[in-house]
Amino acid sequence: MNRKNLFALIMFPLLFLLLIAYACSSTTTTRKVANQSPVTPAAVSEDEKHLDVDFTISCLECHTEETPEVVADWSAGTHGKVNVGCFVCHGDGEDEYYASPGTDACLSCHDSLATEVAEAQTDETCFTCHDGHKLKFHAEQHGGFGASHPGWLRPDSHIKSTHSPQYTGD
Amino acid sequence: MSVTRREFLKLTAASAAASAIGSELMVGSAVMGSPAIDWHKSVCRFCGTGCGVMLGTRNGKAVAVKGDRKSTVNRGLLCVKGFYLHKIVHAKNRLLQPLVRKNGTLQPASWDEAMSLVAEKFSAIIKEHGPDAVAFYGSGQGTTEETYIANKLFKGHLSTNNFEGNPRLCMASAVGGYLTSFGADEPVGTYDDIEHAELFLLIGSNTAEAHPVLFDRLVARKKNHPSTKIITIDPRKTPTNKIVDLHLQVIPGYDLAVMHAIARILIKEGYTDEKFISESVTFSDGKKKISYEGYKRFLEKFTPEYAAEKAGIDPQDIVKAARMFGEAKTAMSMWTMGVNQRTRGVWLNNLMHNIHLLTGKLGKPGCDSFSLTGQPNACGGVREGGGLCHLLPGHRKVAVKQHREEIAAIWNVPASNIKPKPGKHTMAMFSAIAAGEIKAAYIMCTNPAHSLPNLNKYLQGLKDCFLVVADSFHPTETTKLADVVLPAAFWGEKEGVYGCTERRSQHMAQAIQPQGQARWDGEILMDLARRLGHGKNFEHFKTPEDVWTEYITTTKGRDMDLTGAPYSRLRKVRGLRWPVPDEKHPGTWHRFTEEDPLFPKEKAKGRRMYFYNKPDGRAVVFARPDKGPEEPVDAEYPLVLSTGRVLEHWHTMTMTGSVKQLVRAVPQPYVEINPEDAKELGFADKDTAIVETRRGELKLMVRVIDRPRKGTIFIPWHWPEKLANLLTTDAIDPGSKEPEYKICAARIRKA
Ligand code: SF4
Repeated sequence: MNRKNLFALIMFPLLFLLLIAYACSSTTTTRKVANQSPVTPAAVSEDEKHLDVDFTISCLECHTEETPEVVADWSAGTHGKVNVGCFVCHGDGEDEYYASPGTDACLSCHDSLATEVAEAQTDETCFTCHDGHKLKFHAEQHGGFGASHPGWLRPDSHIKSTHSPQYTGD
Repeated sequence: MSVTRREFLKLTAASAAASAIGSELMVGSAVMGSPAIDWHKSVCRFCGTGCGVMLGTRNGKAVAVKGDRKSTVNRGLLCVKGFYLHKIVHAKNRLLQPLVRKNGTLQPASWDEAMSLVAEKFSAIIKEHGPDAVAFYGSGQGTTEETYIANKLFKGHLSTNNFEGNPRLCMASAVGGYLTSFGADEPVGTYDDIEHAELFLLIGSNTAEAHPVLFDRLVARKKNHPSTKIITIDPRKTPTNKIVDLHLQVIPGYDLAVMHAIARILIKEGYTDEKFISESVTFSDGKKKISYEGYKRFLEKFTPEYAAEKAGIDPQDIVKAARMFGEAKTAMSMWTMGVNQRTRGVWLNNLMHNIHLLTGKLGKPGCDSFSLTGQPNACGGVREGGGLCHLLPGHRKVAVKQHREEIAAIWNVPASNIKPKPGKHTMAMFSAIAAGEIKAAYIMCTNPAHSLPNLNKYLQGLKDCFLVVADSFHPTETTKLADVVLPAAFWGEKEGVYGCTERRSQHMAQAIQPQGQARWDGEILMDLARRLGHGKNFEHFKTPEDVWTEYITTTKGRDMDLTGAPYSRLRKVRGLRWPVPDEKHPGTWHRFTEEDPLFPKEKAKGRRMYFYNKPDGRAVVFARPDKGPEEPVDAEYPLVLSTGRVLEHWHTMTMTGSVKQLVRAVPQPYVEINPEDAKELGFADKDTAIVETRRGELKLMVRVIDRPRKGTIFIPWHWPEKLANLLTTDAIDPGSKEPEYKICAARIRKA
C-alpha cells in the first residue's frame, strides 16, 4: 500500500466522524431552504454565520482564491457547467446562509426524482448518493456501485428522463 | 473557537457533504413536500426559452417556485433567475399605488385621479395635434392579451400606428431574416431538433448565460452523444465555451464574410443538397433574382483567406468549421443579439439561413436555422400579435388593404380607422418624442430610459413629453421621468399567454391577487379606452380568456393558426406549437413540410419543403455584401465596445436587482478588458477606468480577463447606476430598424 492510500485509509474515517459530529451539531438548521421563503422562519444561527468578508465581490471570485478545490469540483460537475452558482444552495451569505443546505433547492429543478424517491419509499436524500459539489455518486468516487443501489439511481438516469424529445405539446 | 478565513471556507465546503449522512428525509422537506402549498402552472417571466414553472402559493403569497417537470421545454429544470421568481413577486420595489407628478415630484394618487389625468391629456393632445401626436410603446414581456388590447385601442380606435414594442430592439432583424429568406416569420423547427442534432453552430449567442436551460439541453445532448460537436462564432470567450469544440473569435462586425466563406466551401467541396436546391431554393442579390451560377460567382471573392483576414482569425478554422457543418448529418444553428443587434442584422440572418438551404439541413429532425428570442413573449405577443408599427394581429400588415379590413371587422370599427401607413418605428418614435412631435406616450412593461441606445439623445424628450408608465416596479429609469406611473399586476397576479422562441404558446395561471392597488394591464388599458369614449368594443372582455378567444380568431387560416389552442386546452397542456388549426391537432414540429397542416401537397408536387408564403414556394439564398459595422474603430477610438448580459441578471435589473442572491453573484458593473490590452494600456484588475465613445462616458471597475478578444471591451448593461447605453450607438439596420448595440468604437483611460 502506498503512502497516499494509507493516508486515505486513515483520513476517510476521520473525516466521516467529523462530518457526523458536524451534522448532529446542526440538526436544528438542516431544514433551512435556500430558495424558498421559509414556511417556518429560520434565522441564521450564530454558528452558521458566513465570515464577514468583502461582500462587494462575488461568491465565486472569492472562493476561487480561497477554496479552489471546491470550485474545481463544482466547475467539473454539471452544476458548474450550467452555472448554478454557490448562492443557490448556500444563500447570499449575508441575509441567508446555509452551511449545510437542505434538499429543497435541489427539488426546485429535480422534482421528478423526488417523486421517484418517494415512490421507492426510502429515507435517502439527494446527498445520500450525491456529493454536493461534484454531484458524482459517492459510491462512484469510493470504488463503484454497491448492489444495494436501486435501479432508479443509475448514474445517467436523470439525463435520460430529463430531456427526451416530445413534440405533441404535452 | 477561532478559525482563519481559509479554514472557515473549507468547513463550509465540507458541510455540503455533511448532509450526505442522510439525517434528513427528502420527502417532507420544508417546502417542496408540504401539502399546504398550492401549485399553479405558469411560464418563466424571464427569457425567451419559455421554461415551464410551477408557482407555489400559501395564504395568498408566493412562497416557492419549481421547474415544471411536465414541460417539454425544461423538464423541470430552471436557471438561477427563474428559481427566484417568487421572491420578486413580493420584492421591496413593487409599486403598489398610482403616482402622479405634482410640483415636480411623483406623489401617491387615486386610480381615478391618475386615469382622469391620462385620459384628459391624451384627448386634448389628439384633439389639438392629431392621433399621431400620441404613441404606445410596449414589450415582449407583456402578455399577448395585453398587447392585443393596446393594439386594438391605439391602431383601431385612436387611429395611430405609432405603436411599437421593445422587440424592435432585439428581434426585428430575425423577423426580417425569416421573412426575406423563408417568406414567413419564426423558425421552421423547434427545440426538439436539439436532441437530433449532431452539430451546433452558435453565432452571436452566449447561450450559457442568455438561454441557460437551452444550454443545459446542449450539455445533455453532448453528454449523451459525445460525438456531438459545437462551433461558436463570437468575439468573446464566454461560459458557453465550456462545451465548445471550435471557436472562431472574430473581430466584431466582420462575420458576414466568414459566413460567405463557409457557404463557398460547402459548395466547392460537395456538401450541398443539389436536389433540395433545385426544388426549393432560388437566389437573389437583394434586388433581383440571380442564378445559382451567379451566386457561385459572387462567392468567389470569399476565400477562407479573405474572410479570415477581415475577421482576424485563422483561415484553417473557417475551413474546419465548414467541413464540420458539411459532414454532420444534422446541424442546427442558433443565434441571438450578436447577429440581430447589428446594422446588417437582417443580412447576417439571411446568411445563416443560406448555409441550411444550400445543404438541405432544414425542416427535418436535428436541422434548423434557429433564432433564439430574448424575451418571454416577444414572439407571441409582439411578432404574432402585431405589436409593431407596421403590423396587425396574426402576421398581418397595416399596408395591406385586405388585412386592415379583416382586422377592422373583428375589432368592430370602420376599416378606415386603421391607417395604411406604418407608424414610427422605435428609434424614430423616441426621436419624435425628443423633437416634441409626439407629445404623449404610454409605456407598458418596459424601461426605455435604460434600454435605448445612445440615451443622452433621448432622455430630455422623455422628460418633456406627457409620459405615462405602467409598470410593476418603481423606481426604474423610466418611471423616474414619468408624469403618471400606474401600478401593474405582476406575473402570478394575472392570467395570460406567453409565446416563446419555438412557436409555443403557453398559459399562465393567476395564482394570487394583485398586491396593493395594482391592476392587470389589460384592465388599465380598457379603463383608458372607456374614458376616451371607446369602451363599447372592449366591454365583452371580462377576463383574459375573452381577449384570447377574440385574438385567436385573427389567426384563423393564417400561417400562425392558433384556432386549436383555446384556454380550455392551454390550461391543461404544456403549451402548443402553431400552426395548430383545430383542437385535435397536436401542434407542428417542422413548418413547410408534410408535418405542417398548411403544407399544400398539390402545389408541392413531391418536394420535401414548400415555402408557401413565397409566390413560387421557394426559399431565397441571398448574395449580400459583407458590409462592416457602422462605426469602425479608428485612431481616436481604437477599441470595439460590445454590451451584453450575465446569467444572474436580466435586462434592466428591475427584477433580478431585488434578489439578494443574484446581486451577490454579480454585485457590481464592470468593463472586461483582455489581459494583453490591459498590459499595453497599463490597467490592473479592479482599477477604475473611464470608457468613452463619441456619445458619452462611463466610469467603471476594470476586470482584466481573457474573455473579450484583444482590441475589444465588453460591458454588461444591466446596472441602472452605470448605464452602458450612454455609450452605445443608435445607428440602425435600414431593413429592420434595429440598433447596433453590439458594436461601436470606444477608448478607455485611467480614472
Ligand atoms: S432559461 Fe430562461 S425561461 Fe428558463 S428559467 Fe432561466 S430565465 Fe427562465
